[in-house]
Parts: sequence; C-alpha cells; structure tokens
Amino acid sequence: MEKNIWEWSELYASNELSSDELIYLNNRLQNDEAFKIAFDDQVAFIANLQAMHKQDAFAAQLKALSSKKANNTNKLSKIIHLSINQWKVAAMAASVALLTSLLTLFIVKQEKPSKQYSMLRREIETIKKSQRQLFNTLQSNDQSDLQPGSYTGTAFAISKEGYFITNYHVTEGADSLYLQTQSGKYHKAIVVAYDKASDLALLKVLKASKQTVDVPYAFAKSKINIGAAIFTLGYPDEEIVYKEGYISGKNGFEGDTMQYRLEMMAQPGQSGSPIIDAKGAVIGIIAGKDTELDGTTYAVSSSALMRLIASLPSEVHVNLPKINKLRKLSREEQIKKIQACVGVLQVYKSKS
Amino acid sequence: MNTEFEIIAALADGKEWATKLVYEANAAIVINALKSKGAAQEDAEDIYQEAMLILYNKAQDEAFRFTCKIGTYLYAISNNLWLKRFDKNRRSPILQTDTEQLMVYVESALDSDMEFFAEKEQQFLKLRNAMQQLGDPCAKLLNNFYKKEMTMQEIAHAFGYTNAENAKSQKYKCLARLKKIYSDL
Repeated sequence: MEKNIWEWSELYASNELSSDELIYLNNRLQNDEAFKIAFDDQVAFIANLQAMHKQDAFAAQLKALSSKKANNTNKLSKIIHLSINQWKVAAMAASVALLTSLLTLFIVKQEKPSKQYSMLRREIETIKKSQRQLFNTLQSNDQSDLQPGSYTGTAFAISKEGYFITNYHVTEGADSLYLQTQSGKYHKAIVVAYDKASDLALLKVLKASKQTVDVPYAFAKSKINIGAAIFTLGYPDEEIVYKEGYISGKNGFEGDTMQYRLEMMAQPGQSGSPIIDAKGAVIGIIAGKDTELDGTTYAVSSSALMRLIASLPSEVHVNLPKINKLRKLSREEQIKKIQACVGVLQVYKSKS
Repeated sequence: MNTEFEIIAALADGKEWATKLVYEANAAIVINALKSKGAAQEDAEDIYQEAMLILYNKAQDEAFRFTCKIGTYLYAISNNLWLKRFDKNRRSPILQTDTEQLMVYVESALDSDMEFFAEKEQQFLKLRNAMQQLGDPCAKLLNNFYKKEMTMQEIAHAFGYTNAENAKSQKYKCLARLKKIYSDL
C-alpha cells in the first residue's frame, strides 16, 4: 500500500525507515518542493509530540522521586505549568516593585547610553595590525576555539588576592575575559559580581601561581572636591597611556551622584581605568565620555566600588588595601608602581 | 559502575534507573544550598525538579553529554533559577556564582538553557491545548499510540476498527486535525 505523507513523516521522525525507503524518500524530497515543505513541517510536529510525551514520562519519574508524593502522577504536567505561571506572576510583581522604588534611578540610567554619552570600551574593528597579532598569539596558544576578541577595556587590581575592577558595560554578554598585565602574560578572568546601575564589575583573575599582587594605592572613602588634580593610566592602545586632568563636577552624567565629572581626554579602551588623585588614592573608575563636550569624561566614584564590595556575601573576601604607598613618591615613581596593577581586558563574545 | 557519560545518556533516553540515580545523588546538596539562600523547602524542591527537567532537555544534545558535570550543572542551574525567579529581595549587585568552579557554566549560558526550556514548555502547553480541543476519539487514539505506546493492532482492537491499516489511516487523519488546531491556536 502506498504510504501517505503523514506516514512518511512519522516513520522518518521515529527513525523507522529502511534504507531503500530512505533513498526513495530523499529522491522525492529533492524533486517535489511542495512535498518537501509539508514533510518537513509534519516531521517537526511529530517530533515535538514525541518529545512532549517523553518529557512527560521523565517528569512522572521525577514526581515519583519527590518527597512530597502527589496522589496522581497524571496531574504532574499541570502542576509544573501552574508553578511556572506563578513564577511569571511573581517575577512580574517583583519587577513592578523594583520599578516603583527605583523609578528615578531608572530614568536617569536609561538615558545614559544616549547620543551624548559614549562608553569607552574599544571595538576591535578599530584595532591596528599589531593588536591583531596579539590575537594570533592567543589563538596559537591552543585556544583556537575562541572567536576573535570583540573589544578591549581596562581593568585594575583592587586587592592582593587577584580581584580586579572594570566597567560592567565592558564585560556585558562576554563569553570569556582575558586580562593581560604589564608582564605580557594573559590570565583568564571571571566576573564575580557586578552592579549594572553603577556600571561596575568585579573580576577575579584565575592564576596558576599563588603569587599576589602588590596594590600600592588606597581608595578614597568619600568624594573629593572639585578642582582636585587627577590622573589615569589605561589602555586606549596596546601600550599603557598616562593622562591627567581635574575634577570638574561633583556629579556625573545628568547629575548621577555615583559619578564624577572630569575634565580630561579619554578614548575608547580606557573604560575601567583608575582615576587617581595627586596623593595616590584611587577616587574613581572611568566609565564614559560626553560625545558633545570634548574632553568631558565621566568616572564612577570609589564609594560605588566600596558599596559593591560591602554587599558581597561573606564567602567572597576582598580586602581593599588600607595603606597608600604612593603618598610621598614623585609622579614617575607613582606611575611605575601603579602600572603593574593595570591591565588590558580582552573581551570575547561569540559571533551570534 | 557507570561513567557520567553513560548515566547522562541513559537519563536523556528516559531510563528510570538513571533518573533516580541522578536525582538522589544531588537532591540533598542542591535543596539544602537553596534553603541556605532563603528558599522555602517547597520552592527549593520545585526548583530542583525543574533543574532536572532542564538537564533532561539539555542532555538531548549529545555534545553536551560529553562535557557535562551533572552535579555542577544541576547546582548552577538551580542557583540561577532561584536568583532569577524567587529571590525577589535581591538587590544589585548580583553575585554571579558561589565559587570559581561553578564558572564552568556561565550565567548567560544558563540563561539560554532556561529560555530554551521555557520555549519548549510553551510549545508543549500549546500542544496540550490543541489535544484538548481535538476531543475524543482522536485525542484518545493519539494518546494510546504516543503516550501508552500501544501498537496499531491493539488500538484497532480497542477502538473497533476492522484492522490495523484502518486504525492507522484514522490516526493520520487525527494527526492532521491536531496539527491544524495547533497552527490556528
């Protein structure tokens, strides 16, 4: 008896066709476009139906293992759907609550990545040839499964255990992160915690050796005053670059109290660079610049960093350095000590 | 002793022994960890059950079976489910993971596993809906075949068709109707 198209679809979906039948089927699929479209559609439908029943059977096994024994295993799928729905409602309620309490903050934040505010991570397209060679070395290092780095930012050490800080927008959506320090070595880094609102991400560098980082600077606990001279070290290029300027506003973009406004040139790639005052205290982290006002840069204040650290659960120990070893040094000596703690962060994203 | 690969393959295939083994080996650890984060017993169990379902779905992909660390995966996905759905009081900043070891499974990957499962669930929900609208005897016939895995001979007998061939053509008519209802939903 001649098979109808549903029979073909079902036997195919269940893997029950003989090799002769498969050859015949393939032939027909190649020559009959209308048949192929209907067939593909039906196979997908039947496969879905089969998968549903298989999953139901699996769910029934689970239910039997659960400590709260349901009297009727047939009801299982319904129970699961209900709880999923409840979650959705709960999640919605939660986000509504969040919205109300943070409404003002959100309004400020949402406008942030506007025309006027430009984040300073560096897209890889703009990177010169020498930088590409870096990726080549990376790939030859048995990491050929990695996509080329999507962009770079800067990160700097905040404790001797290997914790680094950078901007959240640098790490957002990253598949993997590699930190290259002054010595030229690459270290894999992971995001331990982040705060989207203040645009900070805490990284931990995974090192083979137990060698600790000597962090020479301390962190300012409160905001410092307008007019204070500041400088930064970061990676707008493949080499570390020094820049200086001053604090021009107590608050950041559109009055953001977690930020400073700085008068200092900044370029893509400098996101995540430390802002340091004359005495060697870290007062902030570069986050973005104003696209309409040349030389206006925004930095997240160190108090936002303190807040992030303070909110970490007890399992994570980040001991911020308490002693500022840069206080009495000349600027050149300060830089020499600081640059060992500042690295370029390569951010890898899959192409999807 | 079975290797982790054999266990996960058997679980993907719906083998009850594997489900039981995996379930019981990890239940206490995961549920207690969730409770220590503030989850109620019942919520923790629900999450664990859903994590098992996500694992089952994920394990349909053979490539995953080779790299899967069952315990770590269940722990990570449960943790992610808890963070995303129940921990309403969570304030930013978000703690990404407990330990470095967990970073084998990045949050974004876990998110996409969860989304994939949710999409599947949506489709199944729609399919169940369509099945309900289909009504008997079609729904019953299809259930006997796909769920109870009866042969066409048994179905012909149960439904009073003269032979298996007739029952089969009836089944395909039912399938076509079900698909029509499904696409119209």
